[in-house]
Amino acid sequence: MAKPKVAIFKFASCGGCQLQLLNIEDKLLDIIGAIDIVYFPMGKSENLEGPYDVGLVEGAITCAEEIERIKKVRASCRILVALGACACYGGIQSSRNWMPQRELEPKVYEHWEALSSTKCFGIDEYVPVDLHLHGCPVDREELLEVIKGLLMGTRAYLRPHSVCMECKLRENECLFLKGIPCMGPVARAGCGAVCPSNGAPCSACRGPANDANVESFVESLKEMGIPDEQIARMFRRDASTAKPFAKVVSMYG
Amino acid sequence: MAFVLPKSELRRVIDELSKDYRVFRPVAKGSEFVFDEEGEPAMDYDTTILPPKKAFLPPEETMFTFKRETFHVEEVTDEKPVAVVGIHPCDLRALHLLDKVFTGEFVDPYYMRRRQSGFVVAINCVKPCEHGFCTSFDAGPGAKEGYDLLLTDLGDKYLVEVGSDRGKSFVDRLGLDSASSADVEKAKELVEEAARSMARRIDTHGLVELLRMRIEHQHWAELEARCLSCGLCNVVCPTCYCYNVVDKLDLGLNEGARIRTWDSCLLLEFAEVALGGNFRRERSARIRQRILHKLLHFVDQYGEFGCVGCGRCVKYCIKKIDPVEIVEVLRGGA
Amino acid sequence: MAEKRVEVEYLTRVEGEGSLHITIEGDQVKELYINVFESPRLFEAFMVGRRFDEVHRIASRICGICCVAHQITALRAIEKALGVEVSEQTKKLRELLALSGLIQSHALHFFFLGLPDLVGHESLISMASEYPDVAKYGLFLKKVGNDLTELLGGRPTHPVTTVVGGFTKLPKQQSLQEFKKVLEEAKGYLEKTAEFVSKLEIPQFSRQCEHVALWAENHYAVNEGRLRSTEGLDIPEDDYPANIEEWHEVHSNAKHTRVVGRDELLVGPLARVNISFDALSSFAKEVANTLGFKPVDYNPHSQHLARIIELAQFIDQSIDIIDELKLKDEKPVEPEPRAGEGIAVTEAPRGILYHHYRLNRMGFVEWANVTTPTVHNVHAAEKDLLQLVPKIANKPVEEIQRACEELIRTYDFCLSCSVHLTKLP
Ligand code: SF4
Ligand code: SF4
Ligand code: SF4
Repeated sequence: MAKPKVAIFKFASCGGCQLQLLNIEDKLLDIIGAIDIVYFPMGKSENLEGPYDVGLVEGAITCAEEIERIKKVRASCRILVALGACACYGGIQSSRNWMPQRELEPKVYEHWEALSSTKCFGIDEYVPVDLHLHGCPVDREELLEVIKGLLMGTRAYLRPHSVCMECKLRENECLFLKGIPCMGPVARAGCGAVCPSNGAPCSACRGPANDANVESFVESLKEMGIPDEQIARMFRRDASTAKPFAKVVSMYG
Repeated sequence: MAFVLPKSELRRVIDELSKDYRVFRPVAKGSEFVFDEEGEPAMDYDTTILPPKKAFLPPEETMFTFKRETFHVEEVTDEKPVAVVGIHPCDLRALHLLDKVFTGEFVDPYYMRRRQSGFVVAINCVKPCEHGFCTSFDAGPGAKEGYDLLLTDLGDKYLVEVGSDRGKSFVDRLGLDSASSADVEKAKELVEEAARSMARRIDTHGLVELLRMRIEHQHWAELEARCLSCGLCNVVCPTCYCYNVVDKLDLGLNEGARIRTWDSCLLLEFAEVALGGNFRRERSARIRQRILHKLLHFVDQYGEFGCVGCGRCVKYCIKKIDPVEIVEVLRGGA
Repeated sequence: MAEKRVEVEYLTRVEGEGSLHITIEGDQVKELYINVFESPRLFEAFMVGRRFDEVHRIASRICGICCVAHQITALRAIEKALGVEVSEQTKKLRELLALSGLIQSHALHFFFLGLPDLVGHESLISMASEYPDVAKYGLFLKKVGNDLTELLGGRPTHPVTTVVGGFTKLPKQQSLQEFKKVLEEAKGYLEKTAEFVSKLEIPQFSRQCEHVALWAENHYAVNEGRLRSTEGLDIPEDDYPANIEEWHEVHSNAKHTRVVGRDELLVGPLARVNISFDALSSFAKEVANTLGFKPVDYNPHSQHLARIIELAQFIDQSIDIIDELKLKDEKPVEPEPRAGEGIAVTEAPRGILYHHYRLNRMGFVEWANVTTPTVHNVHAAEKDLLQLVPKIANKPVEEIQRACEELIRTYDFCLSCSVHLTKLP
């Protein structure tokens, strides 16, 4: 079997998700042996034109040019993978969607009239996506599983349930029960509950779990005494455009 | 046959066992407790996050490794058998129920090997835990069978009761003094006292027949709105036995391992089948499954209740979904 | 006269998206600019309205490669605004965390992005077949950085244990001790790398400009220090805004900075090594010697060498901290929300990083300003090119282009990071 031709694209993002590929130091040479990375501007200088077998897309879509570019990228890739919270849900910059555009840009740029930024979304707002690899950043183990799945022509098993399950499997003291608002119950797993395992509450960077009961969870936050304003902020993070989350932001923000 | 063990000598029990076993014991983790292979035993723990079944049915275990091209399969077996020290009566009874599942009609070699070679030191509860309702199923606070040794806290020492030949020879090895009849009597009283002070209970009288008629009860829909379907209750349950099996391959796609991990019937994908079909899409159906499996189907299949009343599911549930309360509602009471 | 155009639509082996445009007439440069088309992410805008405890986590997402530096800088600025004084242990652990990020980033840049130029390859991937050992050193060193970040922060990218006031979880003393072995092993690979690089030809080109870096007495400054320069600047970090200004040059699309009353500045590994050479460990000095490096060096290509020297320094500095640390169980200092303003300047992998926040009395961000090292360096790089191009103007376009790209890459630009760079039609 010919090695699959893989392309790695970047949109509005921090580069951290592409970096995870290079962060698999122990297996990087094996990965390079198994797949043919033909387009990866951050990592190499000779970059081939499409079509590609697989496109890994990092980054959110934040302006008109990017909308055009992601459409071209889609057309050039047989399988398109959204890599990380930015590509899946717009990432941290999606939190700006709730601020009026005209207030935003002058805060950063003098020549804000020239900017053409739109509301910020994940790539599937504009193109069909074959596989979502969640996380800010993506988890190296999951990334490896996805690569293997692509090689085998199967869909990798990525945990779709909530972070709590992984958290309990690691026998962490529950932060929520200690009165710290952790978003684990509604957040998608796959990260190994890395935040609560390190004593930090989950901020749901992987977006909603497949059966997240956001209403019931918000009720518990209120019972805990979390003010509405904070509830809105909690959901206005890396995955604020995910529908169940966006609903909370609009309701409480 | 009963002996006494000064508390200061507990360490010796663990050290002695460590020669032949991987010894799980309760240790403190923040304000909680976990069964761990290292650390100072905290024998007066209330409950642990994960049940001690994890020693016999690990949350994740490699069953075998394989090579695809040659179809070569190699089973993975443990190097050392496991011992659990400080297992509470409810969790002990849970092992008895798991034995029915894994060593009965269908034999699970991994589980069975560990159980057969394992060593169990139980400890009676003289102080009832906050969420437990073990008396409902005759699962506690005193243990009746299924242990090699059974401890009861008598203040400065433990009463040690022997439950197996293996237990006996271990006691001989330790060279423990015999207990007086007063010690035995005191232990009995302490356990009886604990049983009397258990505040929570499921009334099991006629429960099976009742539940059969409550399959369409509206309470399931109320729970649908409340439950977060996080699956936590399954993970902490000492009698849940469902697992998922996945293959992990290397990048060359030749060598791999077959791994099983605990699964949870509260998860949406649990009953999903090919092409996206799902037998329990509704969350209410999943909660009902958990409760009825323990209190109805397990009885149908094995003739005993599948819950031991350890109270973990309600203790760790963020929404405080409680089997005791569910049964009360279904009975039409409080 | 014939016009030559150098158009690099997408600068490669550079973090983020940028392009290079040069128009040459004879040996005159008519136009030259580096354009950053990285789309605006508007961090300083959406940081407004966030509570003090969220800021460093958000700042982390400015850049995945130097996330550690952004976290630490944001934390210190916020803590200054809140009047929070962290423990000595926290300071030490944060320095160790910063060092881990510096090691990771330098290893990434030197081996993956920079070295291929020096050995005539297009990437580490292709370089690995000719120089498998060197590729392995690179992977090892990068992993050392990442593993250390993970040990302290819970994971390599966007670590999770950092909070205002301290850490949510501390590493085990024993794990740190064990990690020392890995650091020692890394020194061996670094020596070999230095030997390998000493045999390579580094392009000779020199342009004096003002190098700026943090400086501290008897210490290689990383998280705290005074700002010093090769032109005599010597100020506390709080004076940064009064001394370094942003301005907008008409012919270029990027926002530029300069030292007030003077001109552009260069920040990063070369500036640091030049300014704090005396504070280097003996091993780092040995490495400098092997590489034939002597301060003050104004060749931008020496930035590659400075990175290797610093890798040696950072590894030694990490070992020292581990030796000094006697970890006690400490909870983070609990901050009291209050109104305030805080500035922090640290040394990120690519140079001085400036975070500045104003909080309202509830502890919410009212105003934020972040200036990343690349913002300074883009201007310095353009000036380098302006000096370089006339000298090679008679060469074929491809050669000019390659020389320019290689020069740009010595800077290790981080364009995602340069949130300030504006973009015009
Ligand atoms: S998802 Fe997070 S780590 Fe990945 S590119 Fe976006 S901000 Fe960076
Ligand atoms: S700490 Fe968070 S993720 Fe873990 S069990 Fe509690 S709520 Fe769930
Ligand atoms: S615990 Fe939550 S915030 Fe942390 S990585 Fe996992 S999903 Fe993201």
